[in-house]
Amino acid sequence: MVTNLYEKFLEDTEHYEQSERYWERLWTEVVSEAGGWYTWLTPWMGTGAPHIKDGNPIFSAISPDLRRGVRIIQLEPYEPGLDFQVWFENTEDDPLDPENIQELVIACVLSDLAAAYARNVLEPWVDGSRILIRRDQAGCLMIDRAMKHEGQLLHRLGQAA
Amino acid sequence: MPKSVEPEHRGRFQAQSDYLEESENWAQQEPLTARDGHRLLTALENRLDDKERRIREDCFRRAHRFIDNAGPGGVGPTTKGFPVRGRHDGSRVDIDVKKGLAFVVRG
Repeated sequence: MVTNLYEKFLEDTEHYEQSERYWERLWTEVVSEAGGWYTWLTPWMGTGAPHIKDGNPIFSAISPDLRRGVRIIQLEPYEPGLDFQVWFENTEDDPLDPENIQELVIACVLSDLAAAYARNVLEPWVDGSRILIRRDQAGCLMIDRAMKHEGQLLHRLGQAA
Repeated sequence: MPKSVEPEHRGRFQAQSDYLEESENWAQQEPLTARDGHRLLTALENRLDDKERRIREDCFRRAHRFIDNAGPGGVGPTTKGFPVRGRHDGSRVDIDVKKGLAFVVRG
C-alpha cells in the first residue's frame, strides 16, 4: 500500500510548500546521519524563475567537495502504486571537465514509500560512497553501495517493485 | 589572434536514456528566444527514430509547455527533467539552461 502525499502540489500553494518542507526535512536527516564528512549546500538550482512552481526541481543540493549534486523532481500522480525513477547526470558534456558536477536525479510522486527509497539512494550519495543503481531480472530496483571509507563492502539497500 | 568571447547565454536540450544521448545546444551573446527554443527542441525531436520519438511524445509536449510558460522575461539557469512516466530506463527529455537567459519573448 502506497500513500501519496501532497498530491495537489501543482494546484495548491500550501501543498507545494509542504512538499518543499518535506524534502528539506528528509534531506536534513540524511545529511545529519551521514556524519558530516562533506559540505552540502542547498538549494543548488531553482526552477528557472521565482514564479515557476512546478516541482522541477522541488529540491536540490550540491557538494563542492565531492563535485556531486542532488536534484529531486516531484511528479503528479500518474497511476496507482510506487512511481520512482532515479538516474545519474553530468552537468557538462565532458564528464572530465573540471566544472562538471555529477548529479543524482530522483523523479517521483511523493509518497511514504518513494521517500523511503529516496532516503536509501541519498544516504550513500551524500557520504561520498560509490553507488550502482540497476534493475534485476524481475525489474526490481537495486541499489549497491561501495563504502568509500570501508573498502569494497557491498550492501543491497532497497528493492522496489 | 582575436580573443574568443565567452557566450553569455548557453544551454542544451537533451533526449536521453540508458542507451541514448542526443542533444541540441545553444551558445550565443543574446538570450535564446522562446521561438528558437521551440525550434531547437523540435530539431532534437526530429533527430530521433520513430520509436524513441513516440516514447517521448509527452516529454516533448511538457518541455514545449515549459518554454511557453516561461513568461516574457524567460528563465535563468536551471535544469528541467521530463521523464517518460512508467518506464525505468532513464528515458527522458531535459532542458538545461546553463548560463544567462532562455525562452525570452521578443515583441
